[in-house]
This record gives sequence, C-alpha cells and structure tokens, in this order.
Amino acid sequence: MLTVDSIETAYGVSQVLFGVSLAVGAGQVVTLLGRNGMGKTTTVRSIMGIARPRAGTIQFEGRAIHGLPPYRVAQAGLGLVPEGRQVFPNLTVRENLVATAANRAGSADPWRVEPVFELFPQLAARARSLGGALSGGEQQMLAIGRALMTNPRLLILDEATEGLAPLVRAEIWRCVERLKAGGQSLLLIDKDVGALTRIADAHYILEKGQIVWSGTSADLRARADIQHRYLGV
Amino acid sequence: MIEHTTEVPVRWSDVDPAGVVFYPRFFEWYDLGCELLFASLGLPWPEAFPRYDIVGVPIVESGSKFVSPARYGDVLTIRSKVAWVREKTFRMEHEISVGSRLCSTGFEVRAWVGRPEVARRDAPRPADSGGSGRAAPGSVRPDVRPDVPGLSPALFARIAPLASGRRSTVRTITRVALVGLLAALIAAPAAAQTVKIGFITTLSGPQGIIGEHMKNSVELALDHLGRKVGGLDVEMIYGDDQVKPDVGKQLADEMLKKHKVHFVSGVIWSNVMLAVAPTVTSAGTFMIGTNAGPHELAGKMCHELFFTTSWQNDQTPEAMGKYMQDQNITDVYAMAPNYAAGKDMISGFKRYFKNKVVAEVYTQLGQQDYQAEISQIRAANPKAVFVFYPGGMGIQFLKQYAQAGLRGQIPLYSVYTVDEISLPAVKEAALGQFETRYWSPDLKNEANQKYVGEFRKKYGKAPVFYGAQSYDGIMLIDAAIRAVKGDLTNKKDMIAAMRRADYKSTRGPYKYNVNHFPIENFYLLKAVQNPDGEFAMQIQRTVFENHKDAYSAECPMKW
Amino acid sequence: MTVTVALVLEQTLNGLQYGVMLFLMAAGLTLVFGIMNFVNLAHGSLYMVGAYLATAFAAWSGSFVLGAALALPATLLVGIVVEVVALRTLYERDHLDQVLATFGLILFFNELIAIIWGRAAIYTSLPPFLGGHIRVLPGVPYPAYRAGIILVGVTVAVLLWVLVTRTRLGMRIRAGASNRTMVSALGVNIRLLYTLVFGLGAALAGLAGAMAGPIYSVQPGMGEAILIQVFVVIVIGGIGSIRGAMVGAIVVGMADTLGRAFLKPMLATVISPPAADKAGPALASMLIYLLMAAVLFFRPEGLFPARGRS
Repeated sequence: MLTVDSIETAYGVSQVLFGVSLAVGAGQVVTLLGRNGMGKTTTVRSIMGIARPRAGTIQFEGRAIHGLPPYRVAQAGLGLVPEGRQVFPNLTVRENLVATAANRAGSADPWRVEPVFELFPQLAARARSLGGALSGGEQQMLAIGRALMTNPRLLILDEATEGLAPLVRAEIWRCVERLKAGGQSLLLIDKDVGALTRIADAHYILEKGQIVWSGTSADLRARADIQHRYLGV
Repeated sequence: MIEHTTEVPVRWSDVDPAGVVFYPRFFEWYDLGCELLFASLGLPWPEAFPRYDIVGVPIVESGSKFVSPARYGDVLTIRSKVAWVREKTFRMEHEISVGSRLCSTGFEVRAWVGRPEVARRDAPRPADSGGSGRAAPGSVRPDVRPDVPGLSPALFARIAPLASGRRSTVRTITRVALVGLLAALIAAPAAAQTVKIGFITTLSGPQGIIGEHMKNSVELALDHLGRKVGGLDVEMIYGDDQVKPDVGKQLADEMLKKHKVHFVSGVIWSNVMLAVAPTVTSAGTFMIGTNAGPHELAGKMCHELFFTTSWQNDQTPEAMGKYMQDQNITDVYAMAPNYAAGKDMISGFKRYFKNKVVAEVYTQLGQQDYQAEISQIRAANPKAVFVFYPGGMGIQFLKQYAQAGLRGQIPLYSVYTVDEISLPAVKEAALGQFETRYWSPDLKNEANQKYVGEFRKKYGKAPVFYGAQSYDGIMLIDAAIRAVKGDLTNKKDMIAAMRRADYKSTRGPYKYNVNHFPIENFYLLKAVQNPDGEFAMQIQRTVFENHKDAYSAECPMKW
Repeated sequence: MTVTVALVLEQTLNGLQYGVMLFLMAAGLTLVFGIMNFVNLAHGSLYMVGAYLATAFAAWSGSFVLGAALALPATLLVGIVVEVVALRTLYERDHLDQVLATFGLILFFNELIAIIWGRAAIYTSLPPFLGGHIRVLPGVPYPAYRAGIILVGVTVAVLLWVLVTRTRLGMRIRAGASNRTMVSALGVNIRLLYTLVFGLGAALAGLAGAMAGPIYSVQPGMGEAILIQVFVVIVIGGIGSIRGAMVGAIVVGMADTLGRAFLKPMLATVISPPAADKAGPALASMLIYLLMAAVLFFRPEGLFPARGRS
C-alpha cells in the first residue's frame, strides 16, 4: 500500500533522514519507533509532502506521491493525525470534523459526524465547543476524528498518546484497536511499546535518520536488547 | 564638465590601401573636436579669439592611445571634453569610437596665447593667425580654418618666450582675456544656449489631472515658440509634488542643484508654494508661479525673483464676495478645505461680502464625502452657500450637493470649483452655477483664441485656467530672455522685462503690481450647456476691473 | 446652530452609510490580512477598478444596476489574476516586501487606468429610480441612493457572515487562518482557497467602488484616499475578523461623521466659539486616529480579534 524507498530529507543544510525505507501493507498496522529527534516526525512530514525528500521515492497504491503538495497526498488517501494534535482552535468541534471532510474513494460506508461521535462519545457532548477549549485528550480524539472524516485508506498517527493521562491513553488505544478491527491501515508513531506490540503487525526503529531494525511484534518482544538500546526501555 | 560630441565619417583620403585609418588623422580629429566644442559653447574661434584678445590656442603637448583600428566607411564619434583649465594652459581629452567600440583616446594641452602688446597694431587677424593652413578632414565647416598652431613657426615664436616665461613684451595672455574666457568656459552651462526650466506640478493621484492640463499647456506654449524659449533651446524638467510641500521642496532642491535650472515654474497648491518659492528665490533663481497665490508671498515675503501669472488667492473670492454683496444676498454658509488657500479664500470672500456669514466650515483637504456637511447645511437652511473646492473635491461636493436635493433649494456660489476639469465629470449637477475668475475660454483676444483653439485641437478637450496660467508662464519667461538677448546671467534686466508683462497673455494685457502679482480683471462666469451639448463656462459680466490684491502694501519691494 | 433630533438621525444614517462602505472594503482586506498574513496595499486599486468597470459597463448596457452587477464578477476576475500572477510568490516573504510590491501595484493600476480612461474624472450618474429621496421620518428626507448603499452593505454583511460561519468554505477559510499546513495536509488546496479569498475580497472592494462611482469622483488614485480609513477600521476591529471589520467600520463611520457634524458646536459650549472654530475641524479630522490610538492602547488586538490567531 505505502512503500517508502530510501528517502533523504534535509531542512536547509542539516540532513535529517539518510535513506529511510519502510512499507505498510493493506489492513496492516505498522509502527515507527525511536527516541526523540531521530527523524520519526520528519519521515511523516516527508510522506505527507510537507517536507520534500531530496532523494528516494514514496509510492502509495502504486502511484508515486513524493514531490506532490500535501493536499494532493491527502487526496490520494492518506490521513494525518499530527504531532501536537493541531486541531483548529477557532472552529467548533463539529466544524473541525466537517470542514475538511471528504469521501474521495467513494466508500459505501464513509465516516460521518455521527459515527465519529459514536467512537468518541465525549466529543458528541462538546460538539459546539471551540477546538481551542477542549482538553488535551479531547483534542486528540478530535484530531483522529477529523482525519477519519477524510476517509483515508492509510491513517497516520504521530505521537497520538503523548502527554495524555493513562486513562485517556487507554481510550485512544481502544479506539485504535477498533479501527484495526474495521480493516483500517495504520502507521503509528509512539513510545508506548507495550501497547504497540499488542496492536501492531510490524515495527521499524529509526536511529539518527536510518532504519536500524525492523521486524514483527513477536520479534520485538523477544529482543529486550534492541528495546533497551534504541528505545531506552 | 564641458563636453561635446560630434560624428565624422571616415573618408578614402583618411585610410591606407588596406582601408585602415592613418594614425595622424586621429590628431586632426582631436583638433576638430576641440574646435567644435568651443563653437558649441557659443565661442566659435573666429569670433571668440578677437573678443577675448587671444591669438590662438596652440598645442604644447599631445598624445594618443590607439585601441582599435578605424576603417573606411566607419562613422566615428568624437567625444571631447575640457579636463582642466589653468592660468596659461588647458587640457582637452578626446575619445574616438565606432558605435560602442573604442578606437582611440587622446589628449591635447593647449596654451592661451594672447597678442603681444607691442605688436598689437599689426598683429595678424585671428583668421590668418597661423594654424596648419588646411581644414581638418571631415570638418563640417571647411571654411573655418582651425587653429592648429603646433606646426606654425610664427606661433612657435610667440610661444617660446611664453614657455620660458621671462618676457613681458609677449604677454601670454591678458588678464582680461583669461578671466573672460575662463568665466565663459566654467560658467558654460549657464551661458550655454539652453535654458533649463523646472516645472513643479501634481502629476499623480486624483489631482494629477490638473498637472496634466498644466504640462500640456506648457508643451503647447513651447510648440508655439518653435520649441525655443527666448530664442534659446529649452530643456523642461517636470516634477510631481504629489500635493505634498516636502516633496515640492525636495523637487525644487533637486532642480536647483542637480539640473541647475534657470527658472522654476508651476505649483498648484499654496502650501506647496510656501515651501518651494523661498527655496528657489533664496538660491538666486527665478520662481514663476502659475497657480498658487498665498497671501504671504504677496505681502511680507514678496521677492524680486518671484513672479506669478495667476492671482493672489484672495482676489477671486473677493470678486465673488462683491457680486453676492451687490445681489444683496444675506445669510451665507461658507465652506472650504482646511489648508492655506482655503483660509485665504474665505477671508477674501469676507473682505467684500459684508452681509452675514452664518457658518464657516473647514473640511479636510482631499475629503471625499460631504454628506455630513450637507446635512448640516440643510439644517442651517441659509440663503446661499459659498464654497471653494478645487479638483476632485469639487466634483464630489457638487455631485453630493445635487443628490441631496439642495441644488434647487439653496443656491450655490463657488470659486475654483466649477471649471473645465470638473464640468465634464459633473455635467448637469453644475448647470447654472456661478463662479468668478480672471479668465475664461471665451475671452476674446488673439492670444487666448489661439491658445484655446490649438489646445482643443492638440488634446481634444477644453483648456482650463490652470493651463492658461502655465501657458502664460512660459510666454513671460520667453519675453524676459528675449529682452536680455539670451544672457541668462542678466537677472536685473530680466526682472525689469517681466515687470512690464510685455507678452501676449491669454487674459489680455495686464500690469504687475509692486509685489509681482497681476493687476487684472475678474469676471462672473456661469456654467452653461452649449448648443452642441458641451458644458462650458461663459462670461456674464465684469466684476472687477484692474483689481489689485489686498496685500501689496505689505510688500517692501519698490520699483 | 440648533441640533435637532431629526438632524442627529440624519447624521447617524450618514455615519452608517459611510460605515457600510468602509465595511465592504475592510472585509476583503481583513480576510486577506488575517488569513493569508498578507499586507495588500493595492486593495484600494481594486476599489478603483470596480468603480471604472461599473461605469464602463453601465455606459455600455445603459443600466446602472447591470453595470454594477457585471463589475462584481469582473473585479473578482481581476483580483484572481493579480493574485495568481503577482502576489502568490509574496506570501512567504516578509511584510516589507509585500508592502513594496503592492505599492508598486498601486502605481501600476493608477497608470493603467490613466492610459485607458485618462486622468480626468469620469461622469457617472445616479440611476433615476434612486435619484430621489425617501422619508425616514416626517420632515427627514434621506437620499434614496445612500439608503440603498446601507441596504446593500447590510445585506452583504449578513451574506458574508453566513458564508464564513455557516458554510464549509467559511470553515476552511477560518481553519486556514489558524493553521494553513494542517488544512493542506487534510486535502484542501490552500492556494486555491487563498485565490478564492483574494478574489472575494476584490469583488467586495469592486462592489464598494461600483457604488461609490455616482457619489464620489471616479478617477485614478481614488482608492488610496479611502484605504487609510480602511486600515484604521481593521486595526480598531481586530485583524482577520469579519465581525471586527463590521464593528470597526460602523465605529469609524459614526465617529468621523458625527465628529464632523457636532464636534464644533459641542466644543463651542465649552470653549470660546472662535477657538472652537479652529479646534473643531482639526479635532474632527483626527478623531478616528485618536480612536485607533485608544483602541491600540487598551486592546492592542482590536475590539474583536479573530479567535485562534497566534
């Protein structure tokens, strides 16, 4: 579904990615792990077209998407829940969901406001509140709901549980599992290795802009040394 | 820097069998360049030498670098300049090129050679005072024999003592001749046959239309004068003041310092004029105003170098005040923009209008919407309204006054509001409107009929008084320069000439008051529609004959 | 001068009319400024273009209303062309570059208009059915055309409010104001959105110009005269906020009009009439700037700052 092949990305003169390759298959849940500053978010930005790789290719469902502007990448079927949530603070919850909603693939059972509210009942209660007035957990749910409303074929969650209370975090993971059960392809970036090995099919570990390890959840669980060396757990 | 450029074709006699120019030819061309440079300064050698008591300017040193060859058929450009002038010698530098390709650079050091005093009586006439004896090749005036005395034994005989500097019988040059020629050379731009006139007006923004009329009229005047002013070639430098006094002053400075103009003219706005005129006159240059007439310049700040072809601000509203007083109109509501001329206009109006002025309202300069003021007028319900709204302000005011339905109810009298600029834009909204003015397109005199007719022909519209004054301004300058036969240094006689106003003004003959403001007639005009549908101003009657402004007594100038 | 209720009412209407005119200009400017973070000094030029196009179309079609109606899409088109050709490359540059470039556009448009239509003001007349007066109250006639301007302005304000708050386009515009990268990453072509917003602003300026034609003078440079007041409006109202533009425009329109009308008689009750004669006009012309200074002092973000701008 998504194939990233040896991309190199730099901000001005400082290069961040040195040949990152990874693949996400249809219906798969794949994670991108690594400590802070290793290039995870830059990889996401490169995939989304927000940062432009200077080398390498990115293909999504057989189409090259590198070099496309972000809106074209999104229109191709990628949904982004960005790091830091970035909900629109001056729009209400409902407006956040509706503003960019789309069903470009023509799904027979698309995400609409009601299913999202069903997934996150907390949001339904605050439908008229401004995005900026929500709690961190609510904003995270809203960001996920907003991305789902574009009916993406691949959903990317960048640090979706960072800074959230354990209860809220569990709520998010519960929802991710529901998405997976529904056949949603996912690319997850997170530090909660425990939850990730439970949910995900495959893992990639980034270290200083390069993939240093990849394997299945079983592999990763078995390799405490890898976890310790690259993830600090 | 004194410079001259001329072009010379390379002839067959200049080249060798290969078609390349012989090197000595270049020296002849340098000589030609020197001669023509003097001629371009109005100092052709045959005339200038006797005038300055000089025998000739022999070469004492010369040299050349040959950069690239010139060939048969090339047209050479000779650029010559005076590099320096000293007491006994001066240095010429020349560049010869074909198009942009440089062929040679060269120099000549020449001596000023005066007539030996003892030998003066039988000294040879300049025309046969030595020289190479033959015309320089390619000379455009082969009849003038150039002094190339470097080769002449007779001149060498005179130079020799000069070079050693020991004999008094052979004066290298008389002090008089030296000073005269030096002055002539150094002051060359001033004594040149080009008069430079800086013209400041407003060329951009909503008021740019006024400047366009003024500039067009200046150009028409130059057409009528055969593109010469006072017989001299003329260079016009136009400047756009943007209705800002600081910009106007800056323009004046630039014209004085960079362009070294002989006259500054134009200026629409009184506040701009108050910044420009003192700058110009204090630099010893003429300021010929062609519109603004602030009272300060008519009174205490009058100046012998300041003339205007228009009027003092107060005069026109004075005429309207007199007319309205004569009609015995009472309870007048007066309005004007809040700047120098606006206040002059109201005070001029009140000088002759002695009945009651119910309100004096000053609005912002450049204001667009007068609805609030018009509502106030309706509430005050005066017998008449008097306004001064020049340019775009007038168009807006007249339109809005008509739209408010006041036109039929409260008669409106104005100065500088309804004119040939605003009429095509407001049309019916101004019909029947009264104005006072010193000029109108229908004034029957020869100069005016020529001006109005030709302006219409050239620009396809009716001229306006701003233009007539600017046309007159150029004519006044023309008369002044003519009176001194092109000697632009003779300011005293130019002042005297201008004071006579001895030119064909579009308003007819007039005289100058002591403060250099015209003493002229003022007429009552009315906006009418001609049979051909055009809206135009028409003279109804004369309100003032030979009207003087109110401030001339404060002007200390006497003549 | 006696100040009557009728006069106060009439002046209030005048202030309202001036206010809605300013609002039409300010709405476009504040959208472009607030959403695209772009300083567009050439907004006044679009007002001028609207006035000229409306006049030209009215002369061609013989109908003022048709002329104004045609001028709207035409100015929108001009705005879009300007945005695509000239302004797009400037979004990433700093404000000084934008000011310089759009100042250049002012000169360009003024000269272009002068070349096509000449420097002289051109004649535009009122449509006859709007030439009369309506009675607001017995004894208070008000020009029908100006009443029409108020009506159109208020209608446009309502439509704009609906557009911005009730439609998906409006949501995207507001979303774009707070986070353009995110809007883009969710599949919205932000450039196209900007172009649309700019075109909309141009059309509003064009509408203001078309309506200004019959009362002001239609001539090159007419846009700059109003632009300064419009900037005052958006500074008072809060940059990027439609509601702020509306409130700011009405405040400025009222303050300016009522100041010109009543400040001098009010001052005359406090200080001597001759002094009031001098101070009144000076103070009236400064009033809106004093107001702006006060707003900047007490609420630097403006009265209704756009929510969610950092």
